[in-house]
Amino acid sequence: MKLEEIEKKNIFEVPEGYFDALPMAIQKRIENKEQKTFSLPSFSFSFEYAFPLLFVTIATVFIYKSYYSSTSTTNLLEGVNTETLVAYLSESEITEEEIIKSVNHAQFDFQSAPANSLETIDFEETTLDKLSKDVENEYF
Amino acid sequence: MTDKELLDKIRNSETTNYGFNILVRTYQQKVYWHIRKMVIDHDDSDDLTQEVFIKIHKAVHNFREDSQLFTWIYRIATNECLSFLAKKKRRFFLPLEDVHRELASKIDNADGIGGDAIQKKLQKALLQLPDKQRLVFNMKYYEELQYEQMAEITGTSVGALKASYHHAVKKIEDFLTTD
Repeated sequence: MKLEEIEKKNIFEVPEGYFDALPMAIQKRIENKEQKTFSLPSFSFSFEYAFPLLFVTIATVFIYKSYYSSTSTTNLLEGVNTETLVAYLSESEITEEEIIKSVNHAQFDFQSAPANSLETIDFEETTLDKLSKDVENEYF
Repeated sequence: MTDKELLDKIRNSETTNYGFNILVRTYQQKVYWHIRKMVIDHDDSDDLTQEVFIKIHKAVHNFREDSQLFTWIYRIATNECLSFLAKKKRRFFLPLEDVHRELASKIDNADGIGGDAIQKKLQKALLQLPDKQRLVFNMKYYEELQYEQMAEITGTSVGALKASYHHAVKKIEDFLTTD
């Protein structure tokens, strides 16, 4: 079949009065867009500052929290005297071996510790033997 | 009113709305039918036509009159159509054939489409063409534009447009004969 044999015709239709109303519809959309564009700067302006401020606040809270949680145990223990601490440890279920293991010897200041601080600890015989052997192995 | 007079009215702040209203009334039907033949559906065509005029409104103050106002408007409408069809394919991850099938079913079932069986068959034959070739066919066959005007709108050479139209006609006639 040849194209010339077909009548050239626009088969598409539009609703009645469509082209009469179209200019008004376009004008309305342009006005709406202009209003949105006008209000955008104040919106973006507030977010321009709000996001960095929010980020700084979150970062500050996070850093403060992580610092506080790492130092809080040390701060708490600083306020407790040695006798109370020894009394607490002797009553608790923590074994002497566990206490020895957890002590950071490098940071322990034996010079400034009270003279009787070790005497107040009631070590068992076997623990003392083990401790002296460990000291021998480590330093001699 | 000439293009120059119309543009002067739009560029004058006191007569902008009046001038733009005349521009819309002058070109709305050409733009709408140009789009409608490509996207088939009235609602899509309506939306795209409005978008085209919004873009024209935004850019008309910078229009440098290197080309005719009519070809500049057509170029915006053409780009809008091709982008719409490309987006439609991307959005639904549809193969080309499925998009054409969807448009073909609109020709059969959608409101606002008249014509007899052979007219509808011609429209379905057009859907077999790639979008750009369909555009070329519509501009030459239905809108009866000159190849030079089409070249300005599409940014393609006259020779390429002639070849494209010739191939389109052959494909359509084959479809009408065999299908």
